[in-house]
Amino acid sequence: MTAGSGTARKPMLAVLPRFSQQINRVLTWVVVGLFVIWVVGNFINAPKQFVSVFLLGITLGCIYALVALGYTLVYGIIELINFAHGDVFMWGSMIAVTVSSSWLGLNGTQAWYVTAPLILVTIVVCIAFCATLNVAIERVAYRPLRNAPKLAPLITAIGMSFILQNAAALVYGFIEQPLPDIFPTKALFTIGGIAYTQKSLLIVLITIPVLLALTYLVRSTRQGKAMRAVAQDMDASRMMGIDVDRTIAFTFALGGALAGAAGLLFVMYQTSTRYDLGFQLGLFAFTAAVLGGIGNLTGAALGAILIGLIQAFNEGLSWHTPGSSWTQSLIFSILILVLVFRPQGLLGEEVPDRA
Amino acid sequence: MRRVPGRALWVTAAVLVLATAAACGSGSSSNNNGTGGGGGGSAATPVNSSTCKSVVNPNGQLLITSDLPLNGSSSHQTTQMNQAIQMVFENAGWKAGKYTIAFQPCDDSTPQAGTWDSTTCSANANAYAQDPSVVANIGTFNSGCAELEVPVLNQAQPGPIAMVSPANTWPGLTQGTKVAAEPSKYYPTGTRNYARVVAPDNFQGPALAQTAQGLGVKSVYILNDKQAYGAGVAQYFEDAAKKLGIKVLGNSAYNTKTGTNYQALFQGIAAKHPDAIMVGGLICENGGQLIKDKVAVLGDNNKVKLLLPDGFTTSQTLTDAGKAAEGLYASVAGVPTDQLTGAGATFVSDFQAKYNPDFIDPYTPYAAAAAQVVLQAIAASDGTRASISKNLFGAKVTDSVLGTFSINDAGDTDQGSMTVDVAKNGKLVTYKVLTPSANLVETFPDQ
Amino acid sequence: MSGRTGSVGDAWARLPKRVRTLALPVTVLLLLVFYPNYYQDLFNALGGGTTGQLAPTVPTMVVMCVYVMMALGLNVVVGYAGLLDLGYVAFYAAGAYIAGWFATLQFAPQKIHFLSVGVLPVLPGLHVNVWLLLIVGAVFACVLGIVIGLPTLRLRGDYLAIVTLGFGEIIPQAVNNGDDWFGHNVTNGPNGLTPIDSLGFGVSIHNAASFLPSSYRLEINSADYYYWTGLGLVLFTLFCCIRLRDSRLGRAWVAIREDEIAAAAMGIPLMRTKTWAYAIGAFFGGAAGCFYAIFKSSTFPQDFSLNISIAVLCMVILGGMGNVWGVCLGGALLSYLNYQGLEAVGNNLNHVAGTSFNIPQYTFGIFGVIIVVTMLVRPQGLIPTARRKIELEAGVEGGSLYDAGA
Repeated sequence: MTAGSGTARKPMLAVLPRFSQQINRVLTWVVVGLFVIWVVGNFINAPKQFVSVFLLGITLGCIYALVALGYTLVYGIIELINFAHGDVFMWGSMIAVTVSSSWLGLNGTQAWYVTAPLILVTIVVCIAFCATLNVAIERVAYRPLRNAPKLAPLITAIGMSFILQNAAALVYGFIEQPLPDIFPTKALFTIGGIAYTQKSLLIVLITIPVLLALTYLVRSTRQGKAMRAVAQDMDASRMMGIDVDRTIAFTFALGGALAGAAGLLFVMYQTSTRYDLGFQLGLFAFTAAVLGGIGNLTGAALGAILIGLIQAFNEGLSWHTPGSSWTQSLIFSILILVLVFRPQGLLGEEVPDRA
Repeated sequence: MRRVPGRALWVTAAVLVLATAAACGSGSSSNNNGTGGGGGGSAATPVNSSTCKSVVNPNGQLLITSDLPLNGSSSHQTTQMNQAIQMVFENAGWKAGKYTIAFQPCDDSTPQAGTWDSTTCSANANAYAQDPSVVANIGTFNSGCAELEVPVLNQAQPGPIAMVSPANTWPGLTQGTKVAAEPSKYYPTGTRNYARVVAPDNFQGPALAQTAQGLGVKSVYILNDKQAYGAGVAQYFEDAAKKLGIKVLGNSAYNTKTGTNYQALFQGIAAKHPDAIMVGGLICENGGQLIKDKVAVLGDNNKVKLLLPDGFTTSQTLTDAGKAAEGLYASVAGVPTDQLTGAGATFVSDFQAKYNPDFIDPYTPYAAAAAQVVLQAIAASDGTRASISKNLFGAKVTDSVLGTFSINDAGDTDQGSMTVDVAKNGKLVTYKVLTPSANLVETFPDQ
Repeated sequence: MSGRTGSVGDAWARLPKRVRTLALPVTVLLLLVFYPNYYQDLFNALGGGTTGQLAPTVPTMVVMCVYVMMALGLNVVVGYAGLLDLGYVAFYAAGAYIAGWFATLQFAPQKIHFLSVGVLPVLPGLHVNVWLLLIVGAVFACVLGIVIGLPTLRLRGDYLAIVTLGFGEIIPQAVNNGDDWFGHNVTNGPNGLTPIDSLGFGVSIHNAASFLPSSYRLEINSADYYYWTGLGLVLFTLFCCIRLRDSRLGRAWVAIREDEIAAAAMGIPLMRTKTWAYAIGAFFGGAAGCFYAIFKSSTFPQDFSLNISIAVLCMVILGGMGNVWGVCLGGALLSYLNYQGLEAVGNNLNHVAGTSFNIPQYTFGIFGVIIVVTMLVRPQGLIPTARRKIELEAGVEGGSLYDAGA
């Protein structure tokens, strides 16, 4: 039973890494091939339905993308899986309900020129609140543990997630928070009897510029450069005169702002939210970030769209789909397979210490 | 930490063995401090469990417990049920025949779960079994919890504890189903001790199917929450609908987690062009979102009908689904409280006067009826657990809150009336009251 | 006065060292063993009624035993080997379903009885001896641990946590959908498996030694017997954990936790050592799940939520990762709070203040606070191991642990 009984490694284990690298490539292509066959098969089976489900998947994917970017930003800079991020997103949706419905009295009956600026106000409040919340979490729960063993902040992140959930339950109760339809719900066009609504398009139209702006910020601004430097080597960037703590706080603020925006879009689209919203959705978004290659912004967006599509295909199409009762298992299986066989994700770079 | 020497551990183990033996020996004697259930004039011993509230009328000899989920979404229903039980006992003067009674409400839910919890159910049942003064239990609310409690109470010493449920609708508790060894697996001693005053799901499913037929529905798609209750009622609906010649386009599960969007699901269903959707589930499982997304994709509930079982028949459905709720049909076992006559009407007006609730929940009169069944069984018995259990069956209950009904040898009521409500202008109003025709009520031989 | 205490102290010092070492554990053990016998007195001593609820009832003590066992099992994975496992509930489910399959009527009308005790001989279904099932459940969980561990243990710490979380979410869903696995009803889906046979010693042993009941459930104080059995299982787990900690394997785990690369360089086979940690942790989780299912006489898919994994992790962290005594304390304390304590405290507060605030609704929020506060204020836990203390204090060097130079 003792491990040391054979100090010489079994040859199997020594060979395993090289062996697995070879089958990894093969397996990846097999999985991608099967996925393509599945998608094409479904398209041939019911083309109209496929298109409407596809459009729905894109909309869902856009919301996941905004959440997934928060995970990826934080992971990129301090290599922490911020479990509490999904709950910051949930708080975003709660604040959106409170501000738009209770404070500003929006109920979907007002004219667009009244609604639009008030929604803008709501967005600003949501973003400000969630950014502040995320920075506060970082300051209280993660910063003191920055030099502690790696698992320590991960564990506090789980704790923070529970705290945020229960705080929401304390404030809003354990029941659903309904919101009237504020976004326009008129049909733009119909495919096979299914309407594509204005609000679906609105979600996509808001998400894309946010993604572009974020990419610009990280790639081309001074602050973005500082973020990338800190991500690469914290000590070296401190020596170069970068305020590491401020940069990290800025990253958390950015992630929180994205979560706030996502929370608002989600609740406007879905028209209800609850204290435990962040859990499943957060995990799906995290899967998306891992699928795209965690730490990689474009990857996170791509992964999120893919997860949104897979979820919509699984639930809305009928050719060889396991169905709604297996959605979670399907998405977590993807997560596990990606981590085991391709930990760098679709677009991530090969980092030796991840495998 | 200092390492404990190997030999020391063996010494510890030896001490433990001896101590266990001693403890077992003394354990059996120290636990006989209860007053034997029957004829003794002494007061009942309260059930010792943190989930049980204090005893009402603590001087009674025989203790009757209630076992309901007092936390979470069903709490407004269960609070009323306990009030109804207590009111029945008060009206009876805390007497059943020649015995005086005491009442102790217990909770089978945990606040964290907000619904029944298997550990709590099991612990409660064991606590009743261990308390010699407990002779009957009114409950449970959820069939899953009853599946746990019935076998424990059935094997209780010195005799099976009678259990009467006002709300369990899973047929397998009393009769054969497609599940192996139902109902015999709940009665390990071979004698029955469980009865219910509510008609099981093999009545509710057909009632909804008949409603659908009456609405001119030709094809239906069924969704279920993949939970015991929801999947069960969906299955009974499916079988009855097929018998009525309604085309069943599918019966699939939906994800009950908060935040799930069901539009893709309904787009898949839309391709099959159903006339109606039936959902076997509960409102608290993201039901509001399900209804909203149904309306968003398939159109309003007049175009594509929406049929729901009693898991949705609460005002919460109207709050959560908002405008989308308009026109949905929701069934509930029994007759509506405002249509009760005789003793039932008196009960309703007395209850309203005494507790002044916003509205009387459909299950409240059933709790009262369950209490009446228990009282009658105790009155007819010799005061022992076994005799009380035996007197549950074949009993005819006259002038109860639910009118006159009888309990058959399996423990089922002969009342099968169902009410179907419709949502109109933000309110649930009675659409019709019906008793499903006998050929639709699916039964299986006992196993 | 001082002289007297001095003499007592002297007498104490004169006692053999072994007696002095064993005094505390034996006292605690005796107090625990006789708990059901004096529970009623404790209840009365606390004032009965609402305040008496603070005394854990015997069924609560059984649940505490189960959780302490699970916490000890998870401690092998998290505390000894430093692998964060967020899907521990999967092993617990494995054990519970072994009890559910082999000691119920699920597979009726097949009728196989194998050394079954306290079961009517005419009963259909599979009925294997429940004591044997405790071992089978543990071994099955162990095998599952190896199967899950082999592909995933190559991953780095935080990735491993996510993968185990994934398994912890997939397994309950698979079990819930298990009434239709390619047309076969394997797990009875959401209806769960119930009732499960009771523990017991059978009629012949009962006749030979009357204090051993033939079937626990037929005894009026059945919870007491479950409690003593549970306590026995905890002691067995504790014994194994202590022996493992001091074994060669245990030292290999610590070496891996401290520095994987250095450990590998010293010739420790990483994969095999980690897999052993996983398998052994799973073993105790499986045994605990099996015992719990038998005690509850049921197993349902909704019993296996992520919350259980987190609660068990919380016990390990609060108690002190790696320290078996700390973990026992953490496990007992938090499971007591979860199942009875918070409700009792809440009832008492409401009773005194005349309010109706429902404290236990926020149990997991309170657990969250416990996790965060423990990690920030006392990361080594209530009873830390000497080694862990050094590790965490070493982190303070350079003054950057608590003050990142803001």
